[in-house]
Amino acid sequence: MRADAKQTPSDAWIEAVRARFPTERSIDAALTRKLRTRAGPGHQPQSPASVVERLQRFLGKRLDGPITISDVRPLAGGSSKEQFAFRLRRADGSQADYVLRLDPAASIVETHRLREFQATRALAGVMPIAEAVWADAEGAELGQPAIISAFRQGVTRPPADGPYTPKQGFGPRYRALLTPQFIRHMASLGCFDWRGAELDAFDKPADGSNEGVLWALNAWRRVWEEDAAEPIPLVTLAYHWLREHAPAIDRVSLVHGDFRAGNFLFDPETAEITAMLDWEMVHLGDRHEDLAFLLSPLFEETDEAGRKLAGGFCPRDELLAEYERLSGLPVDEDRLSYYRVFTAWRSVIITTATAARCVMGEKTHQDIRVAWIANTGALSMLELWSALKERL
Amino acid sequence: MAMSAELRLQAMIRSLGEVIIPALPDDQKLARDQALILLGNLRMLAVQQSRACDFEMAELREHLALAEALAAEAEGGPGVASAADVVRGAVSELKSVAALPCPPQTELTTMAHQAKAIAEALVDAAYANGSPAFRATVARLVMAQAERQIERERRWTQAAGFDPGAEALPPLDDILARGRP
Repeated sequence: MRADAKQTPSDAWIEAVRARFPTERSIDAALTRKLRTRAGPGHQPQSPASVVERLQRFLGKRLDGPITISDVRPLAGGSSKEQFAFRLRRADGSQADYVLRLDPAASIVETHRLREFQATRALAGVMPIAEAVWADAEGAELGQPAIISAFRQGVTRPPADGPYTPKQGFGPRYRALLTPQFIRHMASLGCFDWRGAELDAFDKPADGSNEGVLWALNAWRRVWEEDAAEPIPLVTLAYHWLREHAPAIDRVSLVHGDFRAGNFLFDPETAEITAMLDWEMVHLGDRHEDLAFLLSPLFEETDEAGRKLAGGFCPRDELLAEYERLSGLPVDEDRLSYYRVFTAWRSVIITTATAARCVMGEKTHQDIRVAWIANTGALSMLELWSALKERL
Repeated sequence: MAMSAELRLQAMIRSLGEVIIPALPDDQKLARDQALILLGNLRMLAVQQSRACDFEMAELREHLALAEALAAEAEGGPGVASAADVVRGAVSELKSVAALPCPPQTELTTMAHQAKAIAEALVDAAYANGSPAFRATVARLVMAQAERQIERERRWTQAAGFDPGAEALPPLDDILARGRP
């Protein structure tokens, strides 16, 4: 796999791909920004001193009185955003901890920071969340697009050694305590009434239409066009199938896009979930997308009795029944099967195309981790193939 | 005598696993995480580095076969006919490279990419103005090719540890030898 003409996209090429795959305005803005900066410098590591200086200037403008930024430390988790925890002391003596989430020069998932900012603020009080407090959506002041969120204590998995794998392995004690909470929060998201929230960064599809699905298809097809170094006929076949079969959305919901184990924090002592994380793929769409992704074999575990656990939590039927009970919303198997194909197709694009493209340009703070995630491409393709085979 | 890549990789794996990683402070989580990933990559390279040519040759043969099969069944409007003509025009050069024991790396990568691209273009053309029968054929042939590709790539990346089920697949060298002249 070698660098190609896509590494230095011309203005004409950029405009052509924008016209060919119309999508939500803020997604278009984020993807276009990615292309316009692609040929530019790679990621420059941020020193804690640099982070302090930028935060001091940014927050100094927004808060009354003198402030002090201290205890800056990089956070290890996550592949798509560069994160720093820090402490803010205000003039009145109060202090609180926050997380600065910075876009690297290119990300394994490229989205607009304002979406995450607005969604986490809208969902504060609906579920445990690290609510975004400030945003520099264009990066004009912090140097890169960024949001600053409240810091939440917790761990994403029970302590273990070894490199990243999708399998988390909660064990029986944590599973019993985490599963009801997780399903409750997923149900809350599905039935959350977003219409009164400030979500102007999102285009809003109509209930009963499939326009939201088509926007999402166009967005990911555009990512494939922009990022893929190697053609994969299966990806192209799946795209055409998805387009032909795009279902109407009965009730438009806020969709997380990556709602699973590994994307929430919990207290290791009490197992209380303290924050649902990683809202960068949030969009308005079909709740079945989140359900289908959670049910992927990639996240399936087996318990001590040999039962298959969806998402590592509980058997599939139990999970879906509880979701329906708590949300009051039906689960449609046909749409679950559609979104199984969709989420697998999306995963193939991320792992086989975008991951390699980021590393090619040395664009992230974790190129080696992004490249490592690309090794899941074969499994994602297997899931796509299996999901599509059921429908062809 | 120049030290072989296999031996150098073996030494690097031991150094990282036995000396460097254990010496990293527990609170340096980013460094520990990346060092462990580095170790995993070296283990994968130990499997892959002597088989890189075989892997790309398998890709070339497989996608060439797909492109030829699609072109043979092509049916539809002008876009389909045009994409099929591109395949027919490229076949003899691709086959000549595919018949070599181990072509120059740059040429092999270029040819493999071309075989994939012309096959993909026919899939796109089928859905633009192909007949319903051709679309059904496209689905069948692409799914069959993808099944082989997935099997190959699962074995290729098995050392990463994501896919315990890959152990049940045929040995990597057997997979890479399929279709070899």
